Amino acid sequence: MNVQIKTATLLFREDQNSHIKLDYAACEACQTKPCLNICPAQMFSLTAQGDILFSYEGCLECGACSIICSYLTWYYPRGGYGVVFREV
Amino acid sequence: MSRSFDAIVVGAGPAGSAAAKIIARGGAEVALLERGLFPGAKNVSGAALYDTALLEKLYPGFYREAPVERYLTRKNLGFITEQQLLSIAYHDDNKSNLPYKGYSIQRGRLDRWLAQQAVNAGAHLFTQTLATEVIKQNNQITGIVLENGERLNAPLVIAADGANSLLARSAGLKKAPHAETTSLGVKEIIALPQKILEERFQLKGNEGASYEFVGMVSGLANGGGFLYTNRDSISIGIVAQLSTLQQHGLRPYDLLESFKEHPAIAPLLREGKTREYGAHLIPEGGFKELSRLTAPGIMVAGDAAGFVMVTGYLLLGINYALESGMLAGETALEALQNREYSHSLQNYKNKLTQCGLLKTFSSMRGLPKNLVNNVNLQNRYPQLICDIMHNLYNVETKPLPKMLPLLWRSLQHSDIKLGSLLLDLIKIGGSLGI
Ligand SMILES: Cc1cc2nc3c(=O)[nH]c(=O)nc-3n(C[C@H](O)[C@H](O)[C@H](O)COP(=O)(O)OP(=O)(O)OC[C@H]3O[C@@H](n4cnc5c(N)ncnc54)[C@H](O)[C@@H]3O)c2cc1C
Ligand code: SF4
Ligand code: SF4
Repeated sequence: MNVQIKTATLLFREDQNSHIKLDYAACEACQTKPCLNICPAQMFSLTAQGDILFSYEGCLECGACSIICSYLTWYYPRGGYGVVFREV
Repeated sequence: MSRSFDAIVVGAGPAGSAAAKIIARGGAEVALLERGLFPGAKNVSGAALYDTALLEKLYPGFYREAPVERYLTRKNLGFITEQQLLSIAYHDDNKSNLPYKGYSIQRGRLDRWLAQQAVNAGAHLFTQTLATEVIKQNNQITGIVLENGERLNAPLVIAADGANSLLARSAGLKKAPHAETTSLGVKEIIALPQKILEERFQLKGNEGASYEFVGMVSGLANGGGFLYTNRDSISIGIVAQLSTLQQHGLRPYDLLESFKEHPAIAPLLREGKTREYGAHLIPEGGFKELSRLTAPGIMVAGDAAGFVMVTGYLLLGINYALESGMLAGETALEALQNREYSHSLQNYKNKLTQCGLLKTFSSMRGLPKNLVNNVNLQNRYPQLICDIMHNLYNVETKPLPKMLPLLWRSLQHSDIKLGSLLLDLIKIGGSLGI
């Protein structure tokens, strides 16, 4: 089961703007790009040109990327927006 | 616009809801702020909930009324390699000995119930409300700023905002977490018809089973796995240290998939349907990385303070969140009575010491280094133990192998040195308090 099927089980209340901001100049210089692997929702990917592509809409708000990358401006979405774990 | 309360609690997880309940019950006006759509909407645990004495003290009748899934009578500790599993099964039917000694729970249901208890006691719950920073005047925290700029004033703030605790950080009580002492947990809730589940795990009525796994479940990363039976579903997941995940370029969901496909695990999940996925951080730094617990006008409780204990056979956090939340709440009430909001908060630390919570963390301060960061323990020892089992049942060997020579041979075949094994025994044993 791939990660898209996993995240499709979740409810998201999408906000208009991303709560996480990347420093794309830093991404260009970043050799290892650990965000590609660490994110449990695979929100980071590469374009055909090898540039980082980030989408915030399926973010689980775990904070892992903010710990392994010091170039992110990381925050939570506005109250009530973002992921909803129902766990029932 | 600004409003005033006697106390503001940020985060309606176990820590925050416990604190708010105590404060409201004491007759004070307390605001409980939660950024999620409802309490629990942002929260992920395994989970097994322990310390029923505490639960009954905080919520008399908890064992009858709280929305728990099952009470745990079957506990399993597994050592796992790619193809093998050695598990130690412990069966304890404590039905006649109420309250039960541990439950499987789901956060969505539990957190809503805990927050409702605070509301029933008189707390003001604000969901969909994100606190962005503390208000500081002359070195004293005097309130909270919300995302829309609104200011909530109170002489006391309790930061119960979880592992990332942006609030404790904004108040200067906590540093940003490290990849070495933070783990990422990913899990799935897999629905299974109740009848099949009960037959498969040999459960009668509302009995439940818990499993903790040490070994390859987290690949080359340091970590482990868990499995808990809920009423009509299974919670299964892995926990892996961020730094070693990064070092080996591992993807957390891939690890979870290979764990689910393990020959000893897959049959347990057969016919199951994934109902929900989740991920969350776990602060595993232990005593050395606890936040500062108080500053004038503020206390820190639960994961925000770093009160999580990971031993390999237990992952404890919800109970410490409830306990520290409760004690922060008691301290807040006393401070409100005396109208002194700086020095009196030292009592929070005193209470944490008196109840033994701080002692637990200080006496196990070696665990993060000796256990969480021990490559041997995570990978080589499970392999060694499983190989010993393999040889033990290898009846083609004639004469049948004897125990001690067999142990010795297995050790020689592994790349573990006797010296480092003994040293680990001492270190791990020492930090687990054996
Ligand atoms: C995979 C996994 C398995 C686990 N298994 C177990 C287990 O089996 N047993 C166990 O005891 N523990 C377990 N834990 C640990 C347990 O989940 C935590 O210790 C526990 O949730 C801590 O409770 P808390 O109230 O401190 O924090 P949380 O439960 O994280 O609650 C914090 C709350 O604050 C809210 N919040 C955060 N920031 C803001 C803000 N700025 N404004 C408003 N609201 C905010 C959040 O939405 C959240 O509701 C596990 C953890 C994980 C990740
Ligand atoms: S790790 Fe940070 S800097 Fe590097 S590619 Fe990812 S987001 Fe960009
Ligand atoms: S917070 Fe977690 S889920 Fe969201 S982008 Fe970062 S790593 Fe991915």
